[in-house]
Amino acid sequence: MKLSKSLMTVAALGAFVAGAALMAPEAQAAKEGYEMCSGIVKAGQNDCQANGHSCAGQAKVDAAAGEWIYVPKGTCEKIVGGTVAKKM
Amino acid sequence: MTALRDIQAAFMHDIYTGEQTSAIFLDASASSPARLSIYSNNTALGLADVLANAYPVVKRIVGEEFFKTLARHFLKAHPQPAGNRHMFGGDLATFLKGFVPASALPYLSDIAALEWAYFQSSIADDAENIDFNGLTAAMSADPAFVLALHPSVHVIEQSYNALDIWQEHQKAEPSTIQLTQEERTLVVWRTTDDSVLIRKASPAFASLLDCCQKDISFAEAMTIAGEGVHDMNAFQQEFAEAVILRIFARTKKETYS
Amino acid sequence: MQQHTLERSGIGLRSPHVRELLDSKANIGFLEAHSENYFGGGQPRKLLKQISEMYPVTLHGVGLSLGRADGLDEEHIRQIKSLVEDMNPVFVSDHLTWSGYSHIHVPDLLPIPFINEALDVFAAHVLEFQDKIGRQIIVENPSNYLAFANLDYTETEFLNALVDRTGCGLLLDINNIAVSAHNLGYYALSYIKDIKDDGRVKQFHLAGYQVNELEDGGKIYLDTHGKPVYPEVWELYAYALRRFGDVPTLIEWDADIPALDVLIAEAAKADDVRTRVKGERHDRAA
Repeated sequence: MKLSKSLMTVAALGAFVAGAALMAPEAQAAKEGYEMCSGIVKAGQNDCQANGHSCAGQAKVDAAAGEWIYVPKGTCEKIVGGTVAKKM
Repeated sequence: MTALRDIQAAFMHDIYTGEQTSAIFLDASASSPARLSIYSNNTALGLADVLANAYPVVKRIVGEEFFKTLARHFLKAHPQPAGNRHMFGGDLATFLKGFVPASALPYLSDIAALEWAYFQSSIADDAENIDFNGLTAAMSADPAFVLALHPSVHVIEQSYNALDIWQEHQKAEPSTIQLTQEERTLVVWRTTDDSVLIRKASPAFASLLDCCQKDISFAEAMTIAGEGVHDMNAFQQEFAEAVILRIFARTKKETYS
Repeated sequence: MQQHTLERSGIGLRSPHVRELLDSKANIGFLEAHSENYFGGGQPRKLLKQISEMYPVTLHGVGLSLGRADGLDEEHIRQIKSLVEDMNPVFVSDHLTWSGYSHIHVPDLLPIPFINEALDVFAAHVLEFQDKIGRQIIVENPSNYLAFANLDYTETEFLNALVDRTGCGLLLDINNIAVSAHNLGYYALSYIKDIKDDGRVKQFHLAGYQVNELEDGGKIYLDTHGKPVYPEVWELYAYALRRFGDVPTLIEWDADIPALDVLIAEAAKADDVRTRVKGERHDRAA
């Protein structure tokens, strides 16, 4: 069982890395074809304000029996195949 | 239990349940149930905002009203875990799998996992990347060398083409998207210019990342990953791009080269 | 450490203004960053670093929970320490509140019962925090919406004792004093008078509040940071300047964040009050 462990010998590993180094494109070129998003990061959630609606009685809403009338009503209509198409 | 602990335990309980058990500790002349509930309302509204910030696509898909309901149920099951609000919401993908009102949207959990990885990746700790020279030096200096992942790396398993849905929702007006069921592994991380990249990982490469995350030595990790390699050239290319695009980091030990 | 006199008033740093502040130097004394928004790395952290190279910066914590009855979060302190080292802030501040206990936290600043045990806990935490980051911190008075029973101290006694025990400074939020005074029924002026006048007040905060009606019909003043500073608060501010001297001052605005110019104009109003009060002192001396 030890045999497979020895497959990647130090020499083979060195060759693999050296080969990869030769294949490596420039970073900008390497990014081609990746899904990416580089907008402003929205990391500003820590503040010290009181919410102006915090007297509005959130608890009352919770107790409302009709809460489950809510169904998703966003762009989910645009995602077709709710029955889920199988990709072969 | 000390008095202060009793008070804080009761207050925290009230905030997350809307109950009023801490009323016994209050001065009735300057307190009231309505005043106490300001704190629980503040938390509910505040955490709903924090959740919406981390999950803009989930929110768009289900709509404002549904998202509010979702947030209210979620925060009770998974309260804010740390003082930094950006840490709140990490369990949404798991929560959605059992959230009956969203069961008609089975892909929502995948979207949530992707959005969380994306957000966390964008603000993860900085680290110095390791280049090929550093890697070669580290390997020759220590045969048991562990190749570290950049702190921003997240590896997520997906059951649907959630990435396509996510991509389409980066547009102002998403077009119709065909949902497909397909298992894939995505790697999400932050690269040199601080943009976050997302890519599909081959099973062998995913296995390499998994080993790195478990602190398995690079040599052993490559052996394990190597067993799943079908196309060595493609695997080597995938590895080369990962090094160049900063998936791997230098740990403090590796100050060679 | 770099020395700043902070004779001009500052504003809270909010993400919609970051680009504008970096593009050209705005006419303000300093910027206050909420520490937790810059935990970790990446783009927000890099931008704050650039900001700190252009403007004096203060770090204002909202999530450490110094008043928690159990232990402080080591990771949270590590992140603040790293920020302090990177940004070289003029002040490091936090609140006389708690927000986490036993692994559960809230996005809010919760009131502390002013009892002996709470003072022991708070002072020990301030000492631990100061020791770990290697800096004096300044502690801000809270806005109160209710009061606890069976107290050993008033809020001002608690704050004075905290400074005596730990050597920390105070950040007096004048708006919070006005809000708490309305909600709990005491005199804002007395509160200011009760804080010792020996250089312990290091900074002032100014902001706008909102008056809401409660479900039970009562009135409550909320510290919403979503409006200009009220005339009542400007007056209290002038009073505080007379008592504590010309202390660095900051305008906070977190909800319905206006254009940068509006904030800068609000800070300029604070500068005008400071100039006026300095003039009074001059007149008296002459």
